[in-house]
Amino acid sequence: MKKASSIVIAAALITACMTAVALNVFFETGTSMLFLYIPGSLMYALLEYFSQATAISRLDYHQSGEGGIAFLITVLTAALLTERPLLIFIFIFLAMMFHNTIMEKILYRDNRDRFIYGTLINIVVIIITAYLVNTGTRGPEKHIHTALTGYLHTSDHSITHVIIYCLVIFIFSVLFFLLKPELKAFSLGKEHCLGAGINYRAMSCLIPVLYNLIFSLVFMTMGFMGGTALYFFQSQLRSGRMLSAMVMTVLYSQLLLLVLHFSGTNITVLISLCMSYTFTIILAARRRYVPV
Amino acid sequence: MIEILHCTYPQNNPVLKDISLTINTGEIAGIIGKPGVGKSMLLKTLSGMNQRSGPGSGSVAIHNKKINAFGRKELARTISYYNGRKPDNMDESLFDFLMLSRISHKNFFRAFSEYDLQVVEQNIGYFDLTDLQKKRLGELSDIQMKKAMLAVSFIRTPKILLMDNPTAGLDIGTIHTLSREITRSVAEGDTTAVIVTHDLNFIAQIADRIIIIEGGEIAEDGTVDLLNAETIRKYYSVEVFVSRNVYNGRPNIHLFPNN
Repeated sequence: MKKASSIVIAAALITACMTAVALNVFFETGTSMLFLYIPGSLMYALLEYFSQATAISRLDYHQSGEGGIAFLITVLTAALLTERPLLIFIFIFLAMMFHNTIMEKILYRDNRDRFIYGTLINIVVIIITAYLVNTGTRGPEKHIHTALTGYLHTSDHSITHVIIYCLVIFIFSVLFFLLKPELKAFSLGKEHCLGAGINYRAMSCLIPVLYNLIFSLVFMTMGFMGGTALYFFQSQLRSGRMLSAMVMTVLYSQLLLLVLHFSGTNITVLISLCMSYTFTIILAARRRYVPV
Repeated sequence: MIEILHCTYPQNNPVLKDISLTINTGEIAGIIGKPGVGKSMLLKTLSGMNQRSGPGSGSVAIHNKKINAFGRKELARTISYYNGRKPDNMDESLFDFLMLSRISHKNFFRAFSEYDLQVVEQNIGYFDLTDLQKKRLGELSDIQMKKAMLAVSFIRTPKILLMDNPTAGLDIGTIHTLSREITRSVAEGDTTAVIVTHDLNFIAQIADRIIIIEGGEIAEDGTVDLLNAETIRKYYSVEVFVSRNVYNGRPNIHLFPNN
C-alpha cells in the first residue's frame, strides 16, 4: 500500500514536472537554461544527498552563505579577470574550498551559527548587488543576472555538454549510492571510522573536495535557483521517497524558470530566497531529520 | 592472544612505563586502579590507536602478528574498542547506526549481508532496543545511547573486545545484560575481553583475571581473589568489607557506612 502511494506521488510529480518543462518550451524561456536546469537540479539533488549522508553540511547553500560567496566570486571574476566559464568554475571551487575550510575551523558544524553567518553574507551580497545596479556599474552589472541564474548558460554549449553533464551526474550517483555506508560512517566521527576500518584522514580530505566540486557545478548551472532541496529531501526521505525528492527539486527549478520568464531575474531570485528561508524555518520548527 | 612487550607511552613524560603483558584467548581480564594511573592508556595501546597516532616504544601483537602489520579493515574486524564516546552525527537513525558497525565485515561497493542483518537484529534484541530502532540518535536518552554503543561493540563480533568503563552511568538491568553478553561472546566466539573499570563488583563477577595498575606500571596480576579488603585498602586507600557471592563464590565488595 505504501509502495503504491509512493509510485502514485512520483508519477504525479513527474507529470507536473513534464508540464512545467512543456510550459517553459511553449513560452520559450530559453532553451539553454531550460535544458541545463534539468541536469543542474539533479546535480543539486545529488549535492543534498551527499551532504546529508556525510553530514558535511546541514544547511542549504542559500542559508550557509556559500551561495552568496560563490555569487560574489562569479561576478568579480567575470568582471575583472575572465569570462570563460571553466575558469570561473575553477575560481568558485577554490574559493569554496578556502571558505569552507575556514568556516569548519571557526564555526565547526554548528547549524545556528552558520545560519546567522550565511544570512549576514546574503544581506551583504544584496547590498553590494543593489549598489552595483543603482550606480550603473556596467562591468559587474551585466554579470549579475547571469551569475544569479547560473553562469554556464551564457557559454556556447551543445547537446554534447548536457550529455557529459548527465554522465557525470550518473557516475556520481552510482558512486555515492554504492559508498553510502562508508560516507555515513565518516559522518559518525574519527573513532567510529577507525572501528569501521576506514581511513578517516583520507576521507576528511576527499569529502570536502567532492562537496565543493559538486556545489561549484550546481552554482555554475543554477545560480540562486535552488535552495529548497534540503526541505524536499528531509520531508520525503523519511518515507523512503528518494525519487519524489529528486523530481520535486527539478520541478521547483522549472517553476522558477517560468517565474523568471514573466517577472525577471531580481524578482525570481528574491522569490527563490524567500522560499528557501521559509522551507528552512518550517524544517527547523518541525525538527525533522532524515536518515539517508 | 594479545601481547604487549615493553610498552612505554608517550615517549616524553610517559604514562605507561615499560609495561609487558600477555592476555590469553578466551580470557576476561579486568584492569583496575585509581584514576589517572594509565588504565585507559593501556587499553588504547592494546587497541593499536597509540601505535598509529604517536611516538612511543614497545610493541603490541595479536596472535603473534604485530599490530602495525594489520590492515585497517583487518584490525577493525579483530578489535572492538568501546570508550563511551558519542558519534559526531546524531541525526542517524539507531538502526542505521548499528548497521554501520558491520562495515568492517563488508567490502567497498558491496551491500550488507543477511548475516550482518541477523547479527544487528540479534543485538538489538539483547540490548532491548527494538522499540527505538527508528529513532534518531539525538532523540535517545543517555542510557539508551550507551546501550546502543555497547551493542555496537558486540555487533562488530570482534576477536578482542576492549571496553573502557562500560558500566559508567548504566542501570542495573543493562549492567546485567552487559555482563551476560561479555561472558557469552567469550564463551561462544573465542573472544578475549579486556575491561577497564572502576566498578569492582561488576568486574568481580565476570573476570578471570585482575590486573591492577599503579603509576603506569602493573602492580598486581592475579585471579579475582585479588579483590580483597587488603588489596583494595592498599590501592584505593579505602576500608571495605568483602563477602562472597552465594551463587558463584566470587567477591562482593561493600563499603562501610560513614558513621
